Amino acid sequence: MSRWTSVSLPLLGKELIEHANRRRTYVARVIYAVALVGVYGVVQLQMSQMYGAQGASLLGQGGMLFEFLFRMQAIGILIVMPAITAGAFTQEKETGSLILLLLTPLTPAKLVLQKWLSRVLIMSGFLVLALPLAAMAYAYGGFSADFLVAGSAVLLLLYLQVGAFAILMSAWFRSTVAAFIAAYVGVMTVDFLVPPAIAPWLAIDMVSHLGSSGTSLQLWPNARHVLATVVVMLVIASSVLAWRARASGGNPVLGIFRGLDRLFNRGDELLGRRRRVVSLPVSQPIAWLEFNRRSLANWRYLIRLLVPIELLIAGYIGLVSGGMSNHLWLYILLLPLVVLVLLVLGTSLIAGERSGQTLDVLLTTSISPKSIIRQKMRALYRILIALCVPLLTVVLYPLVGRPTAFGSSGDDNILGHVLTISILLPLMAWLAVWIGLVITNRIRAMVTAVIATVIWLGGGLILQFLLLMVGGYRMEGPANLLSSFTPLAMETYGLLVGSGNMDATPIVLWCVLHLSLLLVIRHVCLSRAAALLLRA
Amino acid sequence: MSFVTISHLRVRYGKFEAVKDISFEIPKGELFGFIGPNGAGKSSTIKVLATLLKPSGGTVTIGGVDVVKNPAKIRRNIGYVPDFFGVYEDLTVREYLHFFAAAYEIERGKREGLIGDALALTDLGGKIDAPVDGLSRGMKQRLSLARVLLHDPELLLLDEPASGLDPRARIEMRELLKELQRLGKTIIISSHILHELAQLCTRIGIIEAGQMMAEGPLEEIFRRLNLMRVVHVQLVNPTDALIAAIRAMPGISGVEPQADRLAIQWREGELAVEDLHDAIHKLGGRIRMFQPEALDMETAFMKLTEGKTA
Repeated sequence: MSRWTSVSLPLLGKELIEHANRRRTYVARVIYAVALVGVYGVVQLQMSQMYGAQGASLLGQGGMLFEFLFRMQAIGILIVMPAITAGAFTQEKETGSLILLLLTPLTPAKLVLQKWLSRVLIMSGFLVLALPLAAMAYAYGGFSADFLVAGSAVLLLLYLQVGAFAILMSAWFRSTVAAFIAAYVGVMTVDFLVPPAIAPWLAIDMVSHLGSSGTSLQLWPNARHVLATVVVMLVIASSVLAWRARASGGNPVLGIFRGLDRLFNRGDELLGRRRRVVSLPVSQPIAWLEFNRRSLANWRYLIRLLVPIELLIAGYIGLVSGGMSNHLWLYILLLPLVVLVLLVLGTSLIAGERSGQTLDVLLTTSISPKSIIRQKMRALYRILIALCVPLLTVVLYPLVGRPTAFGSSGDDNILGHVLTISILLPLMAWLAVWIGLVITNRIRAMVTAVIATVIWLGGGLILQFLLLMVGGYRMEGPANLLSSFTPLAMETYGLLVGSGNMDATPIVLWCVLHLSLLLVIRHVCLSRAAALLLRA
Repeated sequence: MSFVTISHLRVRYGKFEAVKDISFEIPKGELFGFIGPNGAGKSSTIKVLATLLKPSGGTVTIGGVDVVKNPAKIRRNIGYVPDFFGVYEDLTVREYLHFFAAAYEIERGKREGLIGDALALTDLGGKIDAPVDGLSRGMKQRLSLARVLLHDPELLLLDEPASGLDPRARIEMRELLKELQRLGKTIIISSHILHELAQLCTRIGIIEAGQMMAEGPLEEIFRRLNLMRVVHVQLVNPTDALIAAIRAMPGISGVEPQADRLAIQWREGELAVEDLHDAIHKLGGRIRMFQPEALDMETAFMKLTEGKTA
């Protein structure tokens, strides 16, 4: 038997067969393809308007179309790759099957490699959906085959690197929730804050420089760096996999705070003060559990966490001074992170009880299904408020010393941001809870929530853009009102009102629409609580 | 008067029918064993009783209350122990039980006393400040029982409570269930470990492929099936003539001489065990040991079921 025919990849085969057998694989691909074609169509339409209505006017502009397509695919990788990869090992840990895999002759390195390869192949399936569009762009001319090769190579490097990072997170963390958040936080942080020192090692940096560098040969030095990081991350993942498979669960931040509590208690004892008595549940046991034992929903812990974050934010904003436009990037970085945390926690709210097999027991107690959701939501609201604090600090800090600027501060869209934070975020939280109730598998619920949110928010932005195009880049009349249906409309409306270009009707309409949607989703979750919680 | 009444119960998961038109009744204070192979429909039936699953058809009442129409009232009167033990991380036994005392809306002032009583009954008093995570499987199962005793329910629903327990933990569990029955609880226990239920249950129901094959007191089922029972008899004078005379008695199906005893098969419907004892004595047999074998549940099960799955 030759060396190659004896190579066996059982885990890779199993992962791909499972993936192929799932109906949602094909649904996700169709959604991805439709979104891609839709956005590409809008851009091509806009370019046709710019260069003239006739099709021939686009000849020679294929480079721009390809570059746009390339960036869309890069965004797709940043969204999809962590979602499909973060649960690769954590799900095995949660079901106890990772230990069984580690007992087979497959080494941790082989396990990591096969899991990673399976996700890379799945992502490749998504990326080839863009080939017909790339062919169309190529037909318009204006860019070389080398540019095409370079773009494809950068995309390949990007998903190899993002996948390796997500696999590392999956190997490290005990729970899917933690791995999911860590993978996205890592990817988003690097995406927004590419530190110059490590930029040459990041594929995302190559994405932003592709247009200027252009050829595949010029990219080679960076490609070597990126491949090196991929190898390093996979090696680290392999070396920690067995150790982390045995690690106990639990929230490490919570562990640190509990350690601090013990330290303070000891200090109190030494000073002769009364020791803090451990509280027991009185009337709302689920809320008590959430506040005290389950998550960072404890006010004392949240304050400990928020104080250093607030000091950092305030210090930074104080240093850069001026209007919010100077630190807008901070808002753009924090808002998706907050949305992501809400989506993950919201979908896990009930899924956690399901996977812990405690929901059935809870449902046979005197607590009504509606009350179970209400008590759980108290904790999520507390976290939501805590997450809003840094966001509001970023948004409202420019008002310090000039309170009259609210809503009319030139380029500072304070009103819009405040409305987005106060209405859209609770809406996202309830949406995530509803998805978590309907989809009983935790990782599936999380991925669905993330993808649905991206489609909803992204689709809204595209609609806004289309309305702007149709209206000749003037937000007036019906286009203005229609735009109120898009979730991120306040990010632009507040700005327009601030500069006195628009009446407040669309803002009121947006608030009414989104508050109504929030109330409808909340009502559905609570009124159908029994049926939704009893879903097997 | 029946305490639990199940009438024409059907449970459907999509196109698959897990429970097919089963009916039976359980009187108050009975320990009812629900027997069947994996996938027979035991857990589905128990989940309907626990208000966790809506039946596709039929009616189910507990103490005269319909489980579908009034689940909140039912929940106050039942204690459900699933076949798994879902752990809340980082809770101590005290916190765990206080959590469920609050969940069952027990008055605050009564909680400490009730928790103490439940822990004493389940022999976990010394573990009150131990983390739940660190308890053995047997202790966790006893803690589950302590949990469902807090609100003093009339009906206990135990789904495979002995699965995964070691022999000592099983015996402890069995003794605990007997004690609970003595306290007047009605208990429904599902299992596929037959000899365990034979030692414990006053009534049994045998279910296969979603259909009830037999239900009632164990003796009645044996009578209905005309099953042989076996008694082990050690005689001081086991002569061939005596063995032949026993073999010729009405109701006796066979006598098998073993190393130190006779294994006598008899039909319980035709000959009471006490009469068999008297008859051997009258035949001149000097009895050193007379031990009827526990009802052979495995025989009943094998006779009633065909190894089908739903």
